[in-house]
Amino acid sequence: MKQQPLERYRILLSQLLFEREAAGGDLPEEEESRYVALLDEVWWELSPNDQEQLERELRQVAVQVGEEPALVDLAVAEGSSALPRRAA
Amino acid sequence: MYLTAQHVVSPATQREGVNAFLYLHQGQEWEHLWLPDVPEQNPGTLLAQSISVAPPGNRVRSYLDIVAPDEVRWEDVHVGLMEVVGHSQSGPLPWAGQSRSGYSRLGMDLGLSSRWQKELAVLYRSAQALWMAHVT
Repeated sequence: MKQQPLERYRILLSQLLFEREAAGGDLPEEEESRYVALLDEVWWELSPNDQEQLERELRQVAVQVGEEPALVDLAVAEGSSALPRRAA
Repeated sequence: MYLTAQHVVSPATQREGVNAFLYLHQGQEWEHLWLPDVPEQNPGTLLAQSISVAPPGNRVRSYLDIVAPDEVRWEDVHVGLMEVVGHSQSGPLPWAGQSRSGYSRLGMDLGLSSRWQKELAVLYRSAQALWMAHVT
């Protein structure tokens, strides 16, 4: 299934931000440039409405939290089918 | 396969860490699993765990759930997770969704949400390390 440009942009941006963190804060310049070029390419495939929508999302400082985890962990023995957490 | 990493804090010592658990669904047909039910009702059989702060009774601050076929390639897990995160991030946490590789879910408390990419990376690395040590 082909992704729409808006979704492709979100996935690429998530991947870039995630890969940076997974690499300890910085990506090699070549890898960073590859992402930037891909993001730029997809940006110009977006409609003006989609570009505005993304700009609004990018201005958000943090993501929203609809429901915080209200969970405590559990000890689980290997070989069992018990869950590792339960509702607090 | 159900692979989960959870960031926990001990109520007694305030010590924090990430514990990870790897379950397999050997003997169950992947096509017959209802994926969103796996983390709550049908985790499979625990194959291995990586414990940083000993349970039980720790508060869970964040979690990453990955549900995929037992024989999945890690590259497909990665791509599927990015699809779900990319698709979900305009909405509030927790994020959950299905992708080509299975099902993923991410939740965290308000205190962690401002640096959610870092938190996701920490959970992801812990889950990946457990999977690499026991499946590949």
